[in-house]
Amino acid sequence: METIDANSNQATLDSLRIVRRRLYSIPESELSSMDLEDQVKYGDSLHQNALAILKLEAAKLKGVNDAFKEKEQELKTAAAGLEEDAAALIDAVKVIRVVSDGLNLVTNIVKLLG
Amino acid sequence: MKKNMIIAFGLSVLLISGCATQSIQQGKDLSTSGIAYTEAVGKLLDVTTDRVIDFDTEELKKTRRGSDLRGMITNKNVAVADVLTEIGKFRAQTKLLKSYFLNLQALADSQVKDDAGGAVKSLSDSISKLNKALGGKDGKENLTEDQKAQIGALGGLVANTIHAAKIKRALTRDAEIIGAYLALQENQLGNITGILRDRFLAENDLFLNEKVIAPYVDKNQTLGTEWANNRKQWFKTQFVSQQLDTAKEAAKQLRGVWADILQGKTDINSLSVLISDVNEFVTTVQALEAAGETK
Repeated sequence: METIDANSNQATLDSLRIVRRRLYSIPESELSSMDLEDQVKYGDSLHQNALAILKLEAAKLKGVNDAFKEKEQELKTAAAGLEEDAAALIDAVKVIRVVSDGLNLVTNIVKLLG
Repeated sequence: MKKNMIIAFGLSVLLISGCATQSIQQGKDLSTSGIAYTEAVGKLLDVTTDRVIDFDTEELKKTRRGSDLRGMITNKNVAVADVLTEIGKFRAQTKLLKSYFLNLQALADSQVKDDAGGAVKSLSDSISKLNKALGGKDGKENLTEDQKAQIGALGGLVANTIHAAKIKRALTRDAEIIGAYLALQENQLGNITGILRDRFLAENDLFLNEKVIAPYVDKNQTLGTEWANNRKQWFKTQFVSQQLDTAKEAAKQLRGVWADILQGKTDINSLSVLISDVNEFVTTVQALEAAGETK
């Protein structure tokens, strides 16, 4: 079984952790006043992002499969892009929409971890 | 006659000094740092396990706006359990290391002549297998070049040092095995403290946003003692996670202690300051948790 590239995995984790903190920085009061659709997107995005973090953390502590190994760099780039996009925005609704769209690629690759 | 007396005196001196050397070897401390380190890591793993679970529970509440709540909690339960399983494996590996140091010390203290040190050998075999599982190809693939070079040099440290024969045999066999494992352990500990640090930072951010900033910017809210206390708590806790660096530093220095042991030096518990920092961190976290529960 291939082992993961520790540096690449760490960079991906760092990006996803920053995205989580960005989502956490949106106050409860602001979330409650958003459209229902954006509130659902917020819940789904925070969940998918957190799930990806947990899976990568587990992967760091053990070996991972070959299929994931092939996509590792792609994941790192996608996570870094997500972090950059979320950081560039101030409006909370825009942050949620950008993260929601960008997370698809990340979650599809993380799914390879099983 | 005079010649015989000189020979007898000489033999007595040799006998006394021989006994003294054996006594020093038997009394040699080979395990204090290793045991103290593994116990501190055990406490750190307890704190990490609690944090991972509690944080995830709070996060689930925040994600309760999502589209598939049943699917979300099911997936989260599996993902958290996977991380906890890996932490559990790390705990078992740390106990193995503690057993190794305990048995190495027992071998050093053993009064049995020609003690083969079967327990130490068996533990060394288990750790060697673990290295292959954790370290990738050849057990060292996941180590840095520096770590590999340092481990490669360990074998040579035993050759010219004074150890009792049974200890020398064990140390010669285990020099690189334990050295490689300590380096792998250091890397794993870095991963685990990374998880703990992340949860700390995220919780701290959340606390700042919800309990300090949000009430402050809402002019309709009165800012009472609770708000002031929350702000004080945020200031005090944001630096706690910096103590986590000492855990990884202790793991790194334990490799230095191992090199000292191989060279025949007594373990003078040089890690005590770092280990006390790790213990202090654990106590602080537990106090913070207790304070949070009473709120």
